Amino acid sequence: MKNKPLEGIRIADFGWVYAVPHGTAWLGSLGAEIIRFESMTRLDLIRGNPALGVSPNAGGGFNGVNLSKKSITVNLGNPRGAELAKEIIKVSDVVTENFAFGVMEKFGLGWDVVQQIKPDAIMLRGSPLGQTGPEREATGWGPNTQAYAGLPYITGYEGGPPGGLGGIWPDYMIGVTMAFHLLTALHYRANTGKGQLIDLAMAETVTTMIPEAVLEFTMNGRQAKRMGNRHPGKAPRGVYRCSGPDKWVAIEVNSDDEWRRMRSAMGDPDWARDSRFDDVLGRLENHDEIDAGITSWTRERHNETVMAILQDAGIAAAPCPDLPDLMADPQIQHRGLLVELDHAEMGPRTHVGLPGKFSAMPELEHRPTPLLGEHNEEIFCGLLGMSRDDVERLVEEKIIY
Amino acid sequence: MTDTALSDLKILECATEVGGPFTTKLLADMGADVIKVEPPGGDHSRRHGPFPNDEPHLERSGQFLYLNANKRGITLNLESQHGRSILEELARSADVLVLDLSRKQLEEWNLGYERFRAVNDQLIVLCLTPYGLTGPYRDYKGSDFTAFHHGGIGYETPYNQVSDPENQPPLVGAGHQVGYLVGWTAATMVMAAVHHRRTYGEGQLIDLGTLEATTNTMRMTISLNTFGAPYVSSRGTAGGWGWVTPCKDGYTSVFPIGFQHWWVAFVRMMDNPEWTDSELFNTPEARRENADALRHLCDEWLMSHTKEEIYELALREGIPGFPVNAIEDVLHSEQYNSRDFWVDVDHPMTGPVRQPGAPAIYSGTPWSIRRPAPLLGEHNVEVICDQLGHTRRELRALMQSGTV
Repeated sequence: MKNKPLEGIRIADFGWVYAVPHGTAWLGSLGAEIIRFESMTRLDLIRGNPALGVSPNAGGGFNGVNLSKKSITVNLGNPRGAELAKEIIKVSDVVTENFAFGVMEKFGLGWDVVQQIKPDAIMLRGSPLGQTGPEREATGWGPNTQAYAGLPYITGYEGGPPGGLGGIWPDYMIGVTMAFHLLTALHYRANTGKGQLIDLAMAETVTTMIPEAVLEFTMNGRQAKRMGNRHPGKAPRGVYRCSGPDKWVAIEVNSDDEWRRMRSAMGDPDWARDSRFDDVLGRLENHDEIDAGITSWTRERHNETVMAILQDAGIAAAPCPDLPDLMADPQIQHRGLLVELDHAEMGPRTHVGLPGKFSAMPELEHRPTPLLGEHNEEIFCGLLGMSRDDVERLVEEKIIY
Repeated sequence: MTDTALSDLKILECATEVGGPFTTKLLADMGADVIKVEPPGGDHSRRHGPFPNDEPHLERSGQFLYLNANKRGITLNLESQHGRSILEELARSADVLVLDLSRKQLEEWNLGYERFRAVNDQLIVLCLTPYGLTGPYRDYKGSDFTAFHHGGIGYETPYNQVSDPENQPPLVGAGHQVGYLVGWTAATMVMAAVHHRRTYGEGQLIDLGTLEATTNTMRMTISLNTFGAPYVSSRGTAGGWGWVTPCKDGYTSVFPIGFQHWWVAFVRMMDNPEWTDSELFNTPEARRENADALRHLCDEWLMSHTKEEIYELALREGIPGFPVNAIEDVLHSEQYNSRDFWVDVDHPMTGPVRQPGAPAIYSGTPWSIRRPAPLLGEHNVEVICDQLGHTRRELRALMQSGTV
């Protein structure tokens, strides 16, 4: 099975919470060895805390993102723990982290040290606003950081306040970008033997994804306005109430031709034959009226029925699923995004795999998320060649901890 | 002169709007040689804008200029068999081909992977479609807007800000969040395939649906549930704390209901008001349960502080307190400017235009813009004649007959 293109690559992964872990999971599922540094002194914020009587291995937060990697526990705050980390970095290709500013330096594991230990290492550092600059110490989750970048200000109902996006956006999206940066740097390194430092500011990445709003300002001095689900140049576009509790359908009509087809698909109701609606300018101007008309049709139907009818007429229409509907979606089911893996503590569970299909790698070998410190013996005895006694001593002394 | 990371990759792009073009922009910005193939009428993005002085012009669309800098551009009519043969000729010496045609169009026009593999078995072909090339919805239409909703993010947006679900429908993130997400996801998959080729010596077909790329980012909501937490919709719950909170002169983004150490610092930031001693707020669970009351009580302090004041204080305390910035605020950010984030890209039809620059800073192979977005068909002679060997006369005939 040719599905381990990154076999032989080792990553010393100091990342935690969402973004870096999602990034390294991509590489782990592609065959790289990901060694996650964890510690009882600094439990991943999304692992349960055993001090509060909760297993660190049971929660969906951690298990939702840490596929295909190994877990070791090392107290980096202790100089001997940091030395262990250095030994692993010495035999790794990549170092990843997203601690608060200065934490890696505090452990004696900053970029200058990494470069010394492993001159051709790639290091990726993720943070809200970057490793340099007057505000580099800013801290927060992705959804807080996106506020700085300009995205919530332009998101929201018309006349309403700015809106934060759901799905812990942009944390996982940033994770995807991290996978890209690592694969790009690894490609360059494979060609030249050279590593490098990648300094990723989450807010900057989010701003690179709203260029239209930026250019509206830099070209014309205008701030983009919040428009709900509408679009300044297409109509109708919106989310419409369907039958059943809190069920909705999203519809987008892209041309006059599509409008005619939609009209026909709705059974050619009188209200829709209004000639004002024949062209997009008229539809934009009378959007409220059209929305009311569409709602009178969708309200009596299941959102899946509306989707089927409109798709049959070549119109983009899709349901707005809550979690149960999303998991049951036939297309999601078919495409295999959700995979069942046997978790060492929780048993067989649905995990989110990776999107898309590679023809030469039809099955990626996703491995279930690791238990806390599950790979201590494998790494310390196996990789570093330490004796069992040595390891036991370090466990007692809370270095391997 | 600095090195670029991907200068050994030759990419052909036949895509429009955001997803496909952003995929190859990510690669081009890191040095890849990208030839963009547009239909004779041009990428639809040329009609999107924004436009300088609001004057629509096919060579001055902001979205197009942003997405297609660093690329050479040719025109080919893929509806014509000869147009498709020229594409095949180009594919012989390419590393990656990006297509965003529908499954039916690929079939009808004989542009399936097998055709390209036959002339270049090292070629990586990326097919971008709304739902993927297989499955019950494989021929469904979709857009960045419908996928944002179908993928599940819309139902949670605006997060913990919906008190009246009947009148506050699921909401889309502004702009083209899904289109840009598809670009990142596809570019990552392309690089995975490039590594695969290095390891195993073969190309392959990458099939990515916009829906799955979107749902991929819903992994927390999904996994919390599959690992045993009961699902509770965030819509209509007056409880919970959103990512946007009103303050004196606008909005801020604080998060006091999470980690205990953040709460302690948040209390300190507000000057330790007595009410924070209450049992109702002394654990993350308690704060989540009593979020409504908490928000009410925090209101007094928040509404008497500006977003900049809150940001200053939050920076000092080491907790989140980001201002909800308008574009102007982001343009003037000292932080962004100290990192040279903004770039002025010059273009023959617009002059220099300020726009977002690098999504990450690489120490060895920096991001760079080396040329502006192409004029329509700008490199037809260079590519179709000089590279492929057609004469200028042939090219002219191809243009007149609508093949180019």
